[in-house]
Amino acid sequence: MYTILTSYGWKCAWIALFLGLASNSTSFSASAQTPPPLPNAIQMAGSSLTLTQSVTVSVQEINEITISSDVSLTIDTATPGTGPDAANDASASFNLTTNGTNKKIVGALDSNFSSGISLKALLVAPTGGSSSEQTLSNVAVDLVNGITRTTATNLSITYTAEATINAAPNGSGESRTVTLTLMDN
Amino acid sequence: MNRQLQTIFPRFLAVACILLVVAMPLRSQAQELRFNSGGGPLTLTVQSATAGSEPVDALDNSSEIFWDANFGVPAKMTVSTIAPGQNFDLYLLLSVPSQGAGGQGVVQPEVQLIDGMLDTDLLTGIPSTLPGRQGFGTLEYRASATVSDGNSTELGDDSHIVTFTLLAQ
Repeated sequence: MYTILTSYGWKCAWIALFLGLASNSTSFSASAQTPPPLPNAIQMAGSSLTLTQSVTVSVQEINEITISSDVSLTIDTATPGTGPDAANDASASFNLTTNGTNKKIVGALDSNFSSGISLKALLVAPTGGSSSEQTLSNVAVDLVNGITRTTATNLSITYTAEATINAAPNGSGESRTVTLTLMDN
Repeated sequence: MNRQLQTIFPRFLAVACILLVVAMPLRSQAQELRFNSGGGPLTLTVQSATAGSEPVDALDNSSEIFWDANFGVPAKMTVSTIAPGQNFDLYLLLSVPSQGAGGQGVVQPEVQLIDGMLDTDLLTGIPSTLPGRQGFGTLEYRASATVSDGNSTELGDDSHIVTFTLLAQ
């Protein structure tokens, strides 16, 4: 029994050793003798490694608007027989960016002017939008409509100040803040 | 005692040789491609802009990839993506911070990842021998969206499955 097992073990050892050398010889020579594949050759299965990664791209809704500068309007002339002449200023402008659809710009004053004094605003609409002149007050009014996915710079704002003959002279003037808001229609 | 030794030793030799047969081919052909860091799901969020300008790109460089191109021939790394219904732009640049004496290959320019794209080279000419055969680099993703592309609230997010492949060149 022992003799048989010993003989069997030695046979296994020699066979395994032979296979090992043969296998190693094959693998080493394969890497040394295999010619590089032709350009654009189809790779054999198992000759490449892959790795994957999940990437999500999220784009938030972005609405940005800025106004360029302050303005000052002075009503100081009148035509005899009519009320005081209106004062105009088109020196201000605004920039905007939105990647949303169907937006509008509304405008409002922080507080109303004294009785007999009013301020109107007309904004140039970006491409695709529409605008109209509106009198500003402390209640927001629509100034531009139909703004969709656009960027624009230096769009003009024209202010018009008006006073009736009932408006009291106000010396150095009344300062108000105009707020433009880009929002959903 | 001698008889026992005569029995056990050949068996041990046989087992050792069989292990050698199994292990050697694996060791001599081992290639590797893995993430050194990061590698998990990423989200790039485009969320700001200056009024009058296009939105600011979102960037991510939190993932580092490692390769060992042990093919016995020069190798390369490619990238592709699957992103059904893609709306926004995604770009990838492999930034290899250090090059060994023999170099680690040729880094390709930034690649735009487009749904269904063919495998596109990220790194070519990876040497077949050490030390250049091994290397690592940072995956620099850049997401970009113009206002005309819209936003995720209206269109949904883009979901990419980005695949990197290391193969003989």
